[in-house]
Amino acid sequence: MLQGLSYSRKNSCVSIYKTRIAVGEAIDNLKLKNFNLQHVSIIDTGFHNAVHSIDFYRTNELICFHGKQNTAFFWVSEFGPLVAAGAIVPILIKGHDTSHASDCFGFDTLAAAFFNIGIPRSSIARYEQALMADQCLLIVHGERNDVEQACYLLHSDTQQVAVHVA
Amino acid sequence: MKRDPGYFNHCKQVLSHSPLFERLEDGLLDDMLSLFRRDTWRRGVQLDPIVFQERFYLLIEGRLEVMRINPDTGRSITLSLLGPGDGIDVVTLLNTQPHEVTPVAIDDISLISVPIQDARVWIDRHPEFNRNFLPYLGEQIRQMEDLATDLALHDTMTRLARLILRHIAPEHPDGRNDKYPLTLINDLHDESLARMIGSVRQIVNRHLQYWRKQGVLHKHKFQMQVADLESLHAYAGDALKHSEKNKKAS
Repeated sequence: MLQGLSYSRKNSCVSIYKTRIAVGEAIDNLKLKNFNLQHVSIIDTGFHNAVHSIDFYRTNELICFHGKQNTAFFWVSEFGPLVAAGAIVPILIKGHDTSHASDCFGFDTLAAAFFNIGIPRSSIARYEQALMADQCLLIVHGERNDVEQACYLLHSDTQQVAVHVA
Repeated sequence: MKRDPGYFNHCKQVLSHSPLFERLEDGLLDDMLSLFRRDTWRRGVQLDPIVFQERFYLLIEGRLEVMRINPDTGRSITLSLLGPGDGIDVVTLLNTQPHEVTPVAIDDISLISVPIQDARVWIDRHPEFNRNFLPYLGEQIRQMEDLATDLALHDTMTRLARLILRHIAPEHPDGRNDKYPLTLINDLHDESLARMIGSVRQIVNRHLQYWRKQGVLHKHKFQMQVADLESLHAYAGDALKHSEKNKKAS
């Protein structure tokens, strides 16, 4: 009998953008094709003018990067200020509160959230490096079909998308 | 993929050492890789077979077990164990029929993938790829033939010996200690080995322990190595004869 095996349940795709304008264009592209933006998250470090905050805060209501619902601001020692918006925020907060993945795998809050949506260790390091280099991450996390559709819309010769299954 | 030059070069290096792509023209490999995207699957994940009707995957890092499972009994058999450079379910490149296989990631694996239709079009456009593709398919058929033959004609000890012999790393023996390292199966659990020979964990464990006592196999830091190749060949050829000899000797 097979033990410890499971059908893939965590599907995500991640794309690294050099500028916030490019992320905006990618989101416009998803909107244009009626993609459900509830699956979309953005993580960015480029808020150097922010006052150093020791904890996160979260506000409710709207859904979008510049909106109020599912946005969070963290101070992560490795990155400094970190802004997240979208579906990944509850996962980040949960990871921050429980630190289960951090305890188990030695991850910080961000890496634990990545791990929880199915991103493997090797890719986590890559995305952390991208954030340290002031790049932005656009993450789509959800059912396989949603992720495949997002990947189809975002992946091109000039913009690479990586798909992670766990 | 070209936008990620580090990973692009890594993939190129892995694929250029695999039977499916070795000695393929550099430009051809570049052209092919430009169609692919990057994927990862976490260890233990079991993929829905429908995925392979939609995309063609090439393994870059890690190992993947391709199995068939009886849903009623839960019994399973491993049809193939794939490693870096292997294509997953290459049969889907040849026809569009649903294919009942269950791939399971043994390690965290890295892959590249392309829509299956694009892969078929690319192969049509580049018949020179068939110089590698057809022998690769031939090898897969041969492996399946070996599996069927082993299951039908040999006992578990012979099957296990033959499985181990098929996975001896080609560039050895290791000069330091005259032991023969294994590829792909070197650190597999007994249960995984059992699935590969149509047996159960307890039987495989018994054979492996026996061979370790006999000095045929050596295990160090979870890595299995062959210490006495001749004896293992003998077990692979006629295990019954050996066990009879041993009984008489004892």
